[in-house]
Amino acid sequence: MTEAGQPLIQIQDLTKVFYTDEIETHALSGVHLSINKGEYLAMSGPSGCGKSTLLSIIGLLDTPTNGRYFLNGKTVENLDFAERSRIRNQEIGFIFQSFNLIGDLTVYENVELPLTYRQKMPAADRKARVMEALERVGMAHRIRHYPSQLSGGQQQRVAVARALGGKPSILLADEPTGNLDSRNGEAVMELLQNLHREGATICMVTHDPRFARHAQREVHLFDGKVVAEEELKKLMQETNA
Amino acid sequence: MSGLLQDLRYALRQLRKNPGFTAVAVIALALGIGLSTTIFSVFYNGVLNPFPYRDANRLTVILALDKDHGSENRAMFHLDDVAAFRQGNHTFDDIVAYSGWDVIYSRQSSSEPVHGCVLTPNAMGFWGVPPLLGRGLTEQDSEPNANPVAVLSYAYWQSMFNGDKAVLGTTMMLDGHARTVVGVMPKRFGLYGADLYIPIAWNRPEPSLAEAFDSPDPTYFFATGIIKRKVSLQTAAADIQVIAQALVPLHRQDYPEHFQMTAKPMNDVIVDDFKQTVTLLIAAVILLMLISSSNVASLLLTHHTARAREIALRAALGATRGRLIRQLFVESLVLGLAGCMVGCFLSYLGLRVVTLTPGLQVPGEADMSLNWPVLFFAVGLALLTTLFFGLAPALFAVRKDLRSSLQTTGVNVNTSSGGARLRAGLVVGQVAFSMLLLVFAGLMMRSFFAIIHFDPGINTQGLLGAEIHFPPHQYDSVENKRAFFDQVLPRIAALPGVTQAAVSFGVPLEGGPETDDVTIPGRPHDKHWMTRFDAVSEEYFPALGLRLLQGRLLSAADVASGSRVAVVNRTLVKSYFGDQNPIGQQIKFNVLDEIPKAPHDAYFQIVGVVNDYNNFGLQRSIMPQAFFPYTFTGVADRSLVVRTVVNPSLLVNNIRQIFASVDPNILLLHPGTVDDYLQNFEYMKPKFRLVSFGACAAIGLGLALIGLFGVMAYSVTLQTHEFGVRIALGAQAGNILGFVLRKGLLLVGSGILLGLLASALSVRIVKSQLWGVSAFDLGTFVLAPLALLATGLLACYVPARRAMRVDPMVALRQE
Repeated sequence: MTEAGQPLIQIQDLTKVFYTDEIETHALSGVHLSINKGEYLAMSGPSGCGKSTLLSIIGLLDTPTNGRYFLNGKTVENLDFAERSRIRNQEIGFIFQSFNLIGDLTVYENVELPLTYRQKMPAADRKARVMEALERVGMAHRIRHYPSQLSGGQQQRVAVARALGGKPSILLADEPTGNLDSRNGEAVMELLQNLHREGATICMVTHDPRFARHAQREVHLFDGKVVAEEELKKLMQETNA
Repeated sequence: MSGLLQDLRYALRQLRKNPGFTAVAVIALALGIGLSTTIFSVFYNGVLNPFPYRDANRLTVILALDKDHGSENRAMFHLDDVAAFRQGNHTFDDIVAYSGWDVIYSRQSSSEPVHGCVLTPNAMGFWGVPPLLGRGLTEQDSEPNANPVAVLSYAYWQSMFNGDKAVLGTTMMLDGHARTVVGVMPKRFGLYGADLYIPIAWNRPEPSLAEAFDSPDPTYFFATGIIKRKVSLQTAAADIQVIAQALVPLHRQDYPEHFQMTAKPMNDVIVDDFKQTVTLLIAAVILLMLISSSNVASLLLTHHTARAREIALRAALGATRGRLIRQLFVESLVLGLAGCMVGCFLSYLGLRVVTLTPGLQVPGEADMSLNWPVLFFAVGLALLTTLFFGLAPALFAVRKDLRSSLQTTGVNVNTSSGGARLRAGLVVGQVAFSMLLLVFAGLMMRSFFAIIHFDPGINTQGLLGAEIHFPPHQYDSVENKRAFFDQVLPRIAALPGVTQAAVSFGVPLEGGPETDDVTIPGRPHDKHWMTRFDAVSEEYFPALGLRLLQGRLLSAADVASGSRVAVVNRTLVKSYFGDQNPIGQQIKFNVLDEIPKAPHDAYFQIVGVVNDYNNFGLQRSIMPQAFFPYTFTGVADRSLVVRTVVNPSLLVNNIRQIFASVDPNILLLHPGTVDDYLQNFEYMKPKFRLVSFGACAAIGLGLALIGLFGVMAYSVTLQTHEFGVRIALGAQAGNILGFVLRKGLLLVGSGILLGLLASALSVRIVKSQLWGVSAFDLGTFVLAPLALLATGLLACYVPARRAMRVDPMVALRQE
């Protein structure tokens, strides 16, 4: 939980540079971003603008080259692997574009998976959390199914349940509708919206303006920088020209 | 045909493109084929075909079985008995007699012992091996007035005459008599391990006992025949039995009261123990080949899986399944033949090791080379294993769904449980076979350690033994022998580093004379009390480190006066006296009555008891034994026993000089340490078993670990994305490590359990090869699985570390 008046996530002057052979690629250049608790934020921008990189850094899957990152008021940019894993497990819920369910595990086991990494969590608690999460996404009746036996939309709902099971501070969704048809995409967006209404903090990456509009706030990225919507349009026109 | 060539070209290109895969597969196959071919060569050349002789598979040794003792205790007969067998039988094409003939070869500068062999006139035709140089022995050579001749063995010709062809016609002075060298036998002809061969007439006069002691000419001969075709061994034995029964009145002492003539293939007599070992090794290499083949099958399965898209594309373009299978099979065949070539080279090296290892119980005349049958075996094995390891993965590879294969990237294809199960099954099989080999090798190791740590009852370190050969007739009296030893023993004892020097009949542990029976007043007995005896000087006991348990040891006065006193070992007391006090009791060694110049009807008073030592080799039961003064008689050659605190071998020249200063005609023969004897004769077979089974087990373990590593590494590659997901969801490094290790543990554990079960069921077959350890040795059955578990987990650890280091960003992008 955040302290009163303090954003859940605060990013200051964040940069990320990728080095490949002799080429430096500046994926993020001086990004400032705050996400408040209970907020539903959409990050959009053209392909290669750095939105997925930013989401990965927010999700502690990656580390910034420079800049500060505060999660729940604590700096997290220089944590070791184990501590980052612990925070990811307890504070962050991921929803991936390609669902990333594990094919050998059942629906139940997939949702349970992050909870198994928590030490000393009683099995009964785990079960309760898993069933609650699956109930919330409407997949409780498919607990014994394997991912290959589900449709894309159902798989993404299971992925959402997996993200919810850990009761994270924030849900990070990376193109959650990217692999779904429009009907299933809408259904997932509706699910996220419901979760938001119930108090969840959500940060979603999408390049689809229709889905971005579901969010309370939209942040635009271009060439690794956060830009205003009007500026983005202008830059896009310049690029296209 | 052109399609096949195209397949071959493509196969070569594929293998060149994947050098790592090709190298591992070829090495795995080469190790399996190499060791299998080596063992097969030892089996074929050393067990099935060890002799260079004509009709070698019909050579049959005639033996007399003592039915009361149940052992084949007579393999040698009087020459006229063998002649009677030859003339009277209806079941042999021919029978030959041969025996040892140990003499001294006197040259201008020195004298050398020669281990000769006397052969009956029919011998050269019988063995059917033409000489390399000159001529062989003929019927005329054994006639009474013939010029004495000798035929040299190849090895002796090389060592003594440097392979000089001018040796023909040379005169050799053998025990003071001239013999002309008329021929040299080829390299493989090594009958009796002799240096040279001389003729003996079938009708030579039988020597009296006294003559037998004074002459190198043998009294007893081995009898070997060529059994007629379609005649059984039992029929031949029964045939000889009739003749032998008629001979009993002539040589009553040679035939036990209840005897049965037997006939055994010469092959079995010479290579019997070796055959058992090699047969077991054949079983071991079959296991090794199974490991090797399944290892390569597993590799191919992975290789083909990674090529699923290419295979699917070929099928989409019209290739039939048969065509695809052929192409993949040709690749396997190329691998198999490459493995065969490297394996043959490894086998060549292995056979060099086998033939160059001193003391290894490989029949001396065997030709341990990569001959045609062995090469044929290697190629056959390669083809067979190719069928095994190549066909199943090829069939599996072409069975997959085209559409899904075409959509894959090739990295994370075939996560289907079928492929994974097959790979896992192959690895479990490899671990199980490896477990079996490890248990066998572990038992051999325990057996080897049991024998090298066995206490023989004497201190073997720093103990030198050598035979002393006296010139004929000059030292037959007690006085002459004593005069010689009174001069040399104190001088040897005074050499720096020598603590004791003693005389005896035999060298410790190598045995010595024995008597069929003893007479102890007041102790009648039905069965023969076979007893060893030795004639020693007083320093013999401290030299060997024998401990006095009761009474006293032989004194210098006993030895000086040739007193009829004896010290006995504890086994003799237990066997013949039970709980009674043996001190003061009388004992007669009956065989002495048969030796012309030995004291007859001589009773020795027991004055002391010493601890037992293994007087008949380490692996046989201790026999009752007595020691009495060496001065009881002057007959026969003697041995020297020297205890030192320095390397005993360094003293041999000094001792020879001392001998030469007293009488240059007295020779010190075959000097060697008791430890050397143990190494060469007692430890060598267990060591051979340990090394050969150990090699199989080590290679098997290595291959199984490669297989396990391969499967785990491939599994980690397939699961990279999954690990990325798990890490993204908060899995710690330990979680990932545990996940991978658990998977590996399941494979290793299943293999170990299967292997242990197979070991428990099959371990009885190695029982005959073990000494001093149970076939169900707990230590082996605990340590071997633990070792396999530990190394197995180590093999899993490397892929597990890779899994731990998966970058979730990279892994998730692979989707």
